[in-house]
Parts: sequence; structure tokens; C-alpha cells
Amino acid sequence: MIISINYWEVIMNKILKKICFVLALSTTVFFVQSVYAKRWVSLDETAAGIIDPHIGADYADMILIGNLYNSLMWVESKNLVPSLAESVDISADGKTYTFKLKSGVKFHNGDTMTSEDVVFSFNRSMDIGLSYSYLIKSLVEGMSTPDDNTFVININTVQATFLGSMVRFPIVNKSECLANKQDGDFGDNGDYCQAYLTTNDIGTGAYKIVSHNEMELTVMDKFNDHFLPFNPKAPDEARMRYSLDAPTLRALLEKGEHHTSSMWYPYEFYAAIDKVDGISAVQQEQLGTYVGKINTKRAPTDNIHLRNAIVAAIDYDAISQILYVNDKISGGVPSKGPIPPGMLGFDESRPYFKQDLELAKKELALSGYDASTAPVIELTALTCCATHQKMAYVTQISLEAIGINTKIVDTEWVDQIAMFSKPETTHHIAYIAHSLMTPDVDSLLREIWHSSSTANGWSATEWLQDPEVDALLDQGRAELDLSKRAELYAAAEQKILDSSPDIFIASPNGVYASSDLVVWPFQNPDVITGYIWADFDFRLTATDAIKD
Amino acid sequence: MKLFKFIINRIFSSSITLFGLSILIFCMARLIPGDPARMALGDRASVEQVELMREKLLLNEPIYIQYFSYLKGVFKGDLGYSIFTKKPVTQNIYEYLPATLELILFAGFFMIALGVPLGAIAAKNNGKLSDFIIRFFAIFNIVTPAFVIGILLMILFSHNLGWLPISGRITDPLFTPVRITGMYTLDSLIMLDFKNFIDSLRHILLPSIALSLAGLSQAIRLTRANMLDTLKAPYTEMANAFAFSNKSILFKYALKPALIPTITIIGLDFSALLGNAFLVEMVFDWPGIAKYGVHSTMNADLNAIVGVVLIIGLMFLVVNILIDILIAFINPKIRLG
Repeated sequence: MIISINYWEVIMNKILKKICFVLALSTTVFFVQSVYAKRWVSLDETAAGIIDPHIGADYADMILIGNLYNSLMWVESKNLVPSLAESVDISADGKTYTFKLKSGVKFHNGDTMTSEDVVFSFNRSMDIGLSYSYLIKSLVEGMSTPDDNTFVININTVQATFLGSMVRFPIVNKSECLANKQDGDFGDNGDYCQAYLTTNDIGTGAYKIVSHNEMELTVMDKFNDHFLPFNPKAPDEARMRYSLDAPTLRALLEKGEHHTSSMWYPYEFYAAIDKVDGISAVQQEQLGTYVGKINTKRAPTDNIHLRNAIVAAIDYDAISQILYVNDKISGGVPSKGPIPPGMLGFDESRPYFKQDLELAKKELALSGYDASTAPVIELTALTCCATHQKMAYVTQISLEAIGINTKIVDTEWVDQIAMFSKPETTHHIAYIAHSLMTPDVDSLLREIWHSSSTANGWSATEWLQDPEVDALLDQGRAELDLSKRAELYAAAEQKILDSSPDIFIASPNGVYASSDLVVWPFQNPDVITGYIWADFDFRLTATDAIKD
Repeated sequence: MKLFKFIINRIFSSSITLFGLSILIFCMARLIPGDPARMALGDRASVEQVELMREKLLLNEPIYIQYFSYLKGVFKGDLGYSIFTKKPVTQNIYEYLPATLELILFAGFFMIALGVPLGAIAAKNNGKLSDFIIRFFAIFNIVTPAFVIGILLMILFSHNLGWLPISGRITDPLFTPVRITGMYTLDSLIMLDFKNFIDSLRHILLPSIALSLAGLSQAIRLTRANMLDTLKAPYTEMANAFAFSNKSILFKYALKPALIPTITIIGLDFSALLGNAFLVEMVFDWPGIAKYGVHSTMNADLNAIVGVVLIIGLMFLVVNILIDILIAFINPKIRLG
């Protein structure tokens, strides 16, 4: 009997010990998991991703740089707000900007940001002369640093767009940059640490580089000492992959190994993947314009009546169908003109464009051309992009309806940049989408329709070169009063429309395939900015994707 | 001594070929449409900035001056600056070449290790079911592009069955093996890092198989055809008459002489592997030199284009010298002739 009691106790002891052991083990596993499990996001863009903030300017670069660095100003919910600046004071003559800097802002290596870093960053950008340095290079007259937290910049001309352009000038850590400089073209500054910044970052951004290979993968970790608050579900780790093939992308998305595609895939891809559980096609309303550029300096489209005929003949409904992804998602919404909705000078009362074949025929008759006399109109079909090709086909069908002969020219992007450098070799019609590069409508209007932009490659290949439009845009820049600026831009818009240099097809939307586990800022109406470079802010992103 | 002379001759003639290739590709790269200076600076750079860049890249100089300046750099190990990645081309090649080299070596291994035995089996069983199956397999692989096979393999083994990874060289590029050669499988093996070895092996399996299948099938067909000839040759018939063992007849008298044309073709197939590598690298998101080369071409990155073609040309010549030496060993008539 005694033996059996002891035996029972031994059994109970063993069972209790095992239970305790299992409990301890599971608690440990849970604890270890909760320590190491992290929220993450993965997105892709086209190679190569450049992380030097004063060199990179492409889409991938802008997303990376926007998360690794901060600028004096930034956009929040479509408003221009101070970022590294605490406040900004503009002198009465509009030529001196005094920025009070936020105190205690840390760089990723732990250094504290001072006004010296700001001056160094502006000098670095202007000396290297790439990316967005053109926005201020000819304007800056001098910079000074009255104290560690004050930065003063003087410009030689009043320019209403100046403050907005500050979003394009990320601030770098001067001492870390100079400590890592190599021999180069910039005197005492060596190479301005360009070699170092091919794989490292020296910013204050909400995320910091862990590893970077511009063709394969960039890994960024959350910077916990960042000066701004994070979304509670912000990723601990963000990854950007480069140039994924559509089948690979789809496999990765479906396996949960990747979360969000770029916007460069055919719309059919997004429509198909929207039907997969857990993945949706999502759209980002972008501030910009999607246009068919008409060469105004080459016959026969140098003829205003022929251009009017083209604009009236286009089947805008068919264009909308090209941009259609599904009932919820579209690559763009109909446009009313050069100024995107909500921007300064936008005229809500302006009608949408619609096909009017009678008007088109009338304008064609006024042009003096007919099918037998008009030279064949060349339509660019960019080989990279199915949407552009479809636009060319719709244009061809639309113009043939009024007797204009056309030829579709398959064109590589590098060819287009080469050919479109002169009006004589620029095709008659080419479709391109533009986004605003700074939070000011001037950056869009000037890039496309101002004469000063026509030498810059592809963006102003309408070759409009209209002195009246130039004058209105220049006056808009120099005017600090918002309502007067709006009037000037509305007048410029009307002048542009009168010249019919473009087929205004849409206000573009970026379309992406994205995991339902991730909510990007552009999916949140309270946070969306409309700028691609700000709407992929990882700090404001919510993700339920967890990795151990 | 004759073999040594043979090797020196081959190296000398290959150097001349490489020099010719460098001139050819240097000129051809400059025929690609697009202004490299504009591509380097982006569309918002001013005309003055573009002009400055053109001067920096010597694009305003006559082509022979550009070439000699480039050649001077090449002898110092400087292949110029990549306007696409904003890094020296030499650094890019150092980063991307091992990935492609590793892929090609694995593909080459499959070509030889599977192609030759399967060809031999088909020849031995001429007209039987196994011969038919092997021939069908070979023809299917020859007519199907590598990227299609790559996608099919990925869908089956990675997406549906989940046995192998979808893309990349390693599960987490943050934890790559210590770099010795840059080839992950080899480096992890040298460092006895078996976790990464298995992981990188799992990653390279599908892309290398997809890449190898066309060449593998060529090897099958050539080995089979040549072996059918050698099996009918008088010396094989004599070996049969003297009742030599089947194994001896097959391997010593039939397969060995049948291998010479196969090995020659496998050498040439290496160039095809480099060409096809781009498509496979795109499908499997493999960060190799072929993918880099195509992106460079699309961005009119002249230095990168010339650098990549020269390196690939060099690899092709080295492989062909090695193949020639191997054949000279197998067939003394070649080295002594």
C-alpha cells in the first residue's frame, strides 16, 4: 500500500514536472517569437534603386530617399508642412527664408542634426548638379547659420514655388559624409561621399539602410530614434526588390513573400490578380496629367486647326476603357485640362473632353489638309508599355474616322529620348503621364509647357514655345498672393487649351497589386498626398505581415 | 611540349579575338540610339549640364580617341563608370558576375552529367521505349524557350508544391555566405556553412535546370547519334566478336570517341547559356551579369555594355580554350596534328 502511494506520487510528480516543462517551454517560445517576430513590407520597382539623395530622381529612388532622409519641408495630407524645420519665416521682400530647425533630430549614426548639415546638404546638391538641384541652383544667393538651429537662405528673385521645392532637398550628415569621402572632383569635399552613398545612408529618415544592392534588393529597418511618430502597425523592416517579372511577382504575392507591386505591369495583370484571395488591385490617385503630346512645330501638326481636329476626333470613351482595370480600379479619371483637380488654378466648371466628329471634320477643313494632302501622322507606341500602345491604336482609329492617315511607330524609351530632343525628329503624337515633382502646380505646368523646358529631353515635346504662356507662368511664379496666382494659372491653362498642344486623356492613377495585409498611405483618405514620392511613406503604413 | 605550344597558340589567338571584340562592341555600343549623357543626368538636367557630361564622357571626341582612352583604363582595371547604377563598372561586374558564373556552371554540370548518360542510354536502347522517351524529352526542351520552362518549373515546384524557393539566390540576402568567390554554394561549402549551402543549392536548382535543358538536350542528341555511329564502327564489331564485356564496349569503344563532338558543342553551348541566362535571371530574379547587361543596354549605359560584352567574351574564350585542351587530351591526333 505504502509502495503504491509512493508510486502514485512519483507518477504525479513526473506528470507535473512535464506539464511545468511544457508550459515553460511554450512561454519561452512565445516570448522569443514575440521578441523576434517583426512587421514587414516588401514592394518592387524598376532597377536600379539609387539611394544617394542628391543623385537619385527616378520612382524607386524617390521612394527610398523619402524614407531614408528628411527635408526641411514635406507634404502631409496634400499640405506643405515643415518637416526638419520647426517653422519658417519669409521676409517681406520674399527673398529671405529663415528656417528654425527642430532640435534634437538624430541622424542614423546618432549625431544630432544642426544648421551646418543643412548648408552642407544644399551645397552638395548644387555642386553635384543632378537630381532636383535645377530647382534652386540659379536662385540661391547665399546661406548662413546664425546658430545651430537656424538656417537662412537668400534667393535673388521672388519665387512662390521656392518653399515647395524644399521637399526635394534631403538633409545629410556632414561629418559622416566627409569622414567617408574619397578623391573626387569637388576639392576639399573629395567625391562628396558619392561612393559611400552607393550602399550607405547618412540621413535622419524613419528608416535606415541595412543592405542595398541596386539591382536586387534593398533592406531598411525602422529607425526608432526618429523624430516623428510611427503608425502603430508600421513595418519594422521594409524591403524593395527590383524589376520582377510578372509571373515571378504573382508567385511571390500569392505565397506571401512579397506585398506590393510597382505600377508598371499591364492592367490585365492587376485585373487578374485582384481575383486572388488576399491580394487586391489598389489605386493611388496621383496629382499629374496623362497627355498625348502633339508636336506643334512639325508639319502637319504645326497647323492649329489640324490639332483642334485631332483633339476633337479622339474617342475619349475608348481611352477610358483602356484605363479600366475593374469596377473599382482605373488607371485614370477623365481630365478637364492641364491643371489636375484640386491644384491651384483648377477650374471645376470646365467640361470634360468628348469626341465630336462634326467639329473635328470642320477643323480639318479649316486646316487646308485632307486625306490626300496631309502627311502621315506618326504615333509613338512605347514598346515598354501596353497602355501607351493601346492609346496609339485608339488614336489611329479615331483619326482615320475623319480621314487623317497615321502610322504607329514602335519606339524604345531610349530612342524616344534621343529622337525627341529636336522638333524635326519628334513624332507627331506621343502619350506620356506626368506627376508633380514638388507640391506646386508650377512644377507641372512649367515642365510641360514652358519654353525653358523644351531642351530637356522628353517632358516638353509639344514644343509649344508660346511667349504668352511663358509670361503667365513666370508671373505665377513671382506672385506670392495665392488668389492672384490661381488666376494666372487659370489664364495660362486657357492659353494652353487654345493652342491644342495635347490630347488631355486623364488625371492618372497609379495601379498596384497589393496584399490585403498592407495598407499604404494612399489607401487612407486621411493621409493620402497624391505624390508618389510621399505616398509610400513606410512610417505611415500599416502592415499585418509578420515574419519571425 | 607540343601541348604547351598548342595552349600558347590558343591563348594568343584568343587575345587577338578579344581585342577585335573590344573594338567591335565599343563602336556598336555607340550606335545604340539615345544620348548617354542625357540618360545619365535625367530629363530635368539643363542643356549645359548635359554638355558638361558629354565632355566628361568624351562623347564629343572622335571615336578612336574615346576607344584609346577606354583601353588605357582597361589596362588599369578600370572599365569606366556606369551611368545606370552610378558605380564603377568593375565593381558591378565584381558583384554580378559570380551569380551568373555559378548559374552557368551548374547548368553546364547538368548538361554533361545528365546529357551524356541519357544520350548513351538512348543509343544503347535504340528504337526501344526508353530511346523514344529520351528523344521526346530532348526535342521538347530544344523547342521550348528556357524562360517558358523556367516559369513552368517555378509554378510547379515553387508555387504549387512549395518544394523549392521562387526567386533569388538565398532566402535572406542579409545572411549571405562569407564572400570568397562570390558563388554562394562554393563559398558556403568552403566555410563549412552547410545551412547556407543547402539554402543556396535549393535556390539555384530550378534556374540552372531551366537554363541547362536546351544544351542538355543537344548533348543527348549528339551523344546518341555519335554513339550509334561508333557502335557500328569496325573496331566495336571486332570488340563484340572477341566477346568483350558490354560495359567495356559501351564506355571504352563507343562512348569515348563519341564524346569529342559532344564536348565541342558543349563548349559552344556555354555562349548560348550566357545568352539565355538573361531570361532565366529575369524569371528567377537572379541578380547576375546578364540581367545587368540588358538593363544597361536599355539605359544606353555605354561603359557597362562594353564591360559586360568583354567579360562574357573573355569567359567564352576561356571555356573554349579549356575545351580545346580537353579534346587534345582525349584525342592525341588533335594536339599532335
